[in-house]
Amino acid sequence: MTISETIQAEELARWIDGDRDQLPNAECTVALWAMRPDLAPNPRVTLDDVLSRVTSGPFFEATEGVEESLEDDFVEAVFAQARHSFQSKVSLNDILTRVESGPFAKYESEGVSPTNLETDSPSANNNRWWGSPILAGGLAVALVLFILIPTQFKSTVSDDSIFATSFEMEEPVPAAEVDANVVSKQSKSFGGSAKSDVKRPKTLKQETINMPRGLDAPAKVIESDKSESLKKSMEISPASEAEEPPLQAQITETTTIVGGGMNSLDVESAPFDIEAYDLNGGKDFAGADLFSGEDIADTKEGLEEYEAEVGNIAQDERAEIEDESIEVSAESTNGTIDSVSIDSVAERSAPRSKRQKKSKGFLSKRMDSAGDRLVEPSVMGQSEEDSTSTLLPSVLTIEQQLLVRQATNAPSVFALCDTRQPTQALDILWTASRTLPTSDAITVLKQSSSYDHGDTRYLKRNLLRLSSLLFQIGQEEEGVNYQQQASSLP
Amino acid sequence: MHFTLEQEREMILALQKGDKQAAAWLYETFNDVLFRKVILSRLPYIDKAEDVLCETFRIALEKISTYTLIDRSIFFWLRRIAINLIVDTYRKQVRKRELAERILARDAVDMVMGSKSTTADDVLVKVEEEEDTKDMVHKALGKLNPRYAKALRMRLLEDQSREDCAESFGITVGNFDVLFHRASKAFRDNYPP
Repeated sequence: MTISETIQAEELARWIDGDRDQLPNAECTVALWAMRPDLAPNPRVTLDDVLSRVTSGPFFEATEGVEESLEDDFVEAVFAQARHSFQSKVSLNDILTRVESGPFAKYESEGVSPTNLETDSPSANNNRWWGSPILAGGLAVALVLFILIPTQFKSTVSDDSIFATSFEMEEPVPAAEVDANVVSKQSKSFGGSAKSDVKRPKTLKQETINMPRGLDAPAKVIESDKSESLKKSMEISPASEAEEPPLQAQITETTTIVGGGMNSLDVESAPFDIEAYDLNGGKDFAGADLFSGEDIADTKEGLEEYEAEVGNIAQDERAEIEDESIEVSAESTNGTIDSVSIDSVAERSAPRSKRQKKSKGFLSKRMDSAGDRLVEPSVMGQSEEDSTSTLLPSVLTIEQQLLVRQATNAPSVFALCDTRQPTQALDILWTASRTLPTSDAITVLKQSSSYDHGDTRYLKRNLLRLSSLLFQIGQEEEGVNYQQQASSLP
Repeated sequence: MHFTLEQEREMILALQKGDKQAAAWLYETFNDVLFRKVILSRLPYIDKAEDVLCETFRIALEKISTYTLIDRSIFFWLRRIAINLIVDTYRKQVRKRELAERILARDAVDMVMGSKSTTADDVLVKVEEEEDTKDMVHKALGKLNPRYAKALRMRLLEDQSREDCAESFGITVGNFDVLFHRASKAFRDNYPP
């Protein structure tokens, strides 16, 4: 029962009792007008309104003459004047006799009668702009631009494409180098699955960068060698690169330079280099899980949130949770890349929110430690009744809940209900229905209609539960009836 | 006002000649009964009901020359026009097309069964229309939660006071008001049946 509902109910009651300054809420008037049409206000329609709408018959007063209509409507009068003047001057035959070319020119010689022309003459509008081929072409161009402009005309160019820029014939490579390349490719393919998860910029072949000695690392290393122009655009000064945010990528890049002959892929699978460049400062494990996309900072943050929600966690439990997180990151950097990447891919493919991803490590803990307090997600949302029941807070105290649970039959439940506290009574009935056998539960829930002046949400919940119980025992007709009653509630 | 069929006939002849006084007579005599007992009971929304009323008389005045004098009041002709317009109104709403068909079917039954009323007096004083409306109301109440139906019956049909109703339900007057308010809302979803 909301405040606005109480106010509306009171207004309606007063209106029926004679205080009729304002019409009651439109939702309630149907009952009033249907049962008490005498209470309805008089129709605001007058005979003049009716007569003004009449367009034919003995009561239709046709407007005669332009002068008379001028007083009523100037615009209408102007059009009427135009019609009058148009009718008297030029006939269609006059026009056609002057036509010297085009499809209508033949009529001049044939001497077509005006009556024939009325039926056969085509539309006077020969300027059919929509038939123009220019328009079709224009539309096609507009469509193409509409598609291309948002993409800024960029598209991936495959190596096989004629638009690929490197056409130069490669010099023959010695057999030893070929073997080395094969090994390199194998290592690439080994790390490939893990690499796909890492967010990092493209790496440029080291020889293409004119990097001064003594400078630690270029902030961005670009691999692509498709075209010179692309290279130019991708060569970014260290100062500007410092603004580039992805931490993980920066770690990788730094390592690339330190490793000398190593390429970025080799370094990614080597844990020592990553740990050597601890850019997060102060956190021992800030090297992060490069492959799952989570870092320990997130894990810690989640742990703190979990503590805030559930309360203090035992020291050993906390350590266990931290260990679990660290173990995952360590595994992912220590070479079990394939398994980790599969996990991370699976995680990413699951439709979960960012928040859920962050606190992933704790969800299972939460369910274990606070199992009684939390409702399992699989149970939630099974049906409308369940969702309603989960959302509604109990209005009963713990003592009352205990009393309700101790009730073993319907009369003992009814004894706990009070019509002066209808919402509480509805909650009692619902709580009792969860512990009683089905037949008793149905009896109890049917009593809900006695408390329909309580909160409609609680009433709806009870009716939904009642209908579902009735469906369970095969009384579908009655179940549908209660379901309809529930659905009519807000 | 008392009208015999003969008096009505004279008025109709005057109407067919375009007599505005006769039009005023027609409107003043039948607008209220049409509005409250025919239109509003089937289309209980004031604005729409007023539209239908206006259109009913517009059509009647436009087509009055086609009206054939019979041994019944012109009210039944007006009623038929009004019901057709109500059906049209419901047919415009996809969700209420079935309702439109039910109204039409019910009216067809009335026509087949025939009406005892013949004169305008019969229509204005007694009231088959009220019987029809009561029938529809009781059907709609039958579909409601029994407590809601009881609240509506007591308060609107039996015209009992809030206090009496609240006492009968064993609840406070405030709670009864809320109960009645909800009952009115629930009624809207089931009416016309």
